[in-house]
Amino acid sequence: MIRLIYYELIKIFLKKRTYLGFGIVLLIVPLVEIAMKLEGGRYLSMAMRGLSRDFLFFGNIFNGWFVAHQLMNSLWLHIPLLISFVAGDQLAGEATAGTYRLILIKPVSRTRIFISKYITTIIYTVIFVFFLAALSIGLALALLGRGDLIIMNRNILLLPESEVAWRFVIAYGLAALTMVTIASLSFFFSSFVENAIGPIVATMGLLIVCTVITVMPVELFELPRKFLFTRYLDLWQRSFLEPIPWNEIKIGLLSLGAWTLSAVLGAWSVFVRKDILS
Amino acid sequence: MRISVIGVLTVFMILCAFAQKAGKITNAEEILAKTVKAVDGVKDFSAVIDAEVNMDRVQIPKMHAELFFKKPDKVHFSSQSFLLVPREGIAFNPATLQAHYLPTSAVRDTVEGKILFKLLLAAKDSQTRLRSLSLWVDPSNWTVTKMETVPYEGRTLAMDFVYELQQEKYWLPSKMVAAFSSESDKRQKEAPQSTENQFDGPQRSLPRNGKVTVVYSNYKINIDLPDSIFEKKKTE
Repeated sequence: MIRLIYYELIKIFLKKRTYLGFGIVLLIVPLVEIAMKLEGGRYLSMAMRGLSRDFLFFGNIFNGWFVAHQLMNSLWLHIPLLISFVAGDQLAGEATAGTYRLILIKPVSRTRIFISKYITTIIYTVIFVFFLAALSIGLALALLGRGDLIIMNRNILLLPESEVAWRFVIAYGLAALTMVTIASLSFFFSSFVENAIGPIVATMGLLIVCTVITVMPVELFELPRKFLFTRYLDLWQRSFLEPIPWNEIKIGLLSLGAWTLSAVLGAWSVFVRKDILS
Repeated sequence: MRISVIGVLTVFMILCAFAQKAGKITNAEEILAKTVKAVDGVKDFSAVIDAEVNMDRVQIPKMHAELFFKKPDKVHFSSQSFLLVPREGIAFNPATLQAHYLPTSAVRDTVEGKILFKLLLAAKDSQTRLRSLSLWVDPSNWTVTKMETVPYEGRTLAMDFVYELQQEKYWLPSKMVAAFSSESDKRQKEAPQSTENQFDGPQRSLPRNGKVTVVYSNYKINIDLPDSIFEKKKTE
């Protein structure tokens, strides 16, 4: 099995599309972080304007941690597209290239091939998310230095610097697990078709529909939104709450796990029964 | 009969007028001057401050810093971490009030069983941030124990000071509690709120009610602080 995964990894990293996501991240992260540094925290000043009428602030709160958090906040809806570029190609790509027949005549069961492809997809997803983490945090800290992290949403929360690093590790861990669910869905769609465009479009389509149902304040959607994976796309944000709502995270992980398992079992069911005509 | 009623009313009105006059202190400027004189010998000081923020929708851990003050109004904070302190009152100096405000009235007022002088101050310059202030002065040591103002429309700031005698001659604050309140925040609280995190964006100009408590300790007075301390760039 390890050898199969190894070969799948070689295949995945020999494809140009694999590097598309990395390239976009390499472009967008420095662009945003350098722009934020040049702007010198104007966004933060505006966000803190209400408080600054009553208070004086001292200390470096416009720092690398703040920028890395802001970047993570703005990318969580776009990263799924980059993940699905590769995950959607895993099975459909073989059909497109006409290599399905070639790999399936080997004395290896379809299930083993399926598992190796799926594990490779997970490895890619995790590598991609942690590449984003290393680049965004590393560059932000190099550009803007360290300090306490200020989180602004409905509340203003200040996390001491000593607590920030491990919270980012948890956040990116949760983000990786969320992206594994997206990758699994894309992998599932990939098992149906013979062109990788289909799974990418289907994944993004599902994501958009589910996100709309999740965020629209319509009472009719109250029940379905409880079961949608998009409800937990921002699960990573919970690691920046005080105290961390572990119970909520547990429920979110269970929900995402259920979606992942359903997608994988569905894909496996399709893959082992599939008529290979290419 | 009519004459006696008129007589009683006249006597009553005269007594009321005397009572009012007795409660009103005409020398408001003198009271303010006494508060200035009480700390006149303090040219500069440093103190350790521990601050705690207890405000709506604000979670900030307890803060620890060193405060440096030099007359007339130079203030600097030294802290390893983020520090959030009230704009007013953190390094309270009556001389600054005397320079920028005109005492318009002074009356006796009883606060928690203690008789204090209540001064009303009006800003001399229309550009001054706080247009008017109410001060409560303790005549036993000529310290400002309470201050109230309206920093901007709809916002109320009340500060309470507790003093300790330093170097056996200067009454300096050992504790300051700044309480903020506003009408719009109460309305906001009453309004229904979304439960979904995903809908939430930063609420930028929403005022917050609550208190900030600052405890002062380890005063070092008249230590000839150099001006260079105050020239450091502050990240406000």
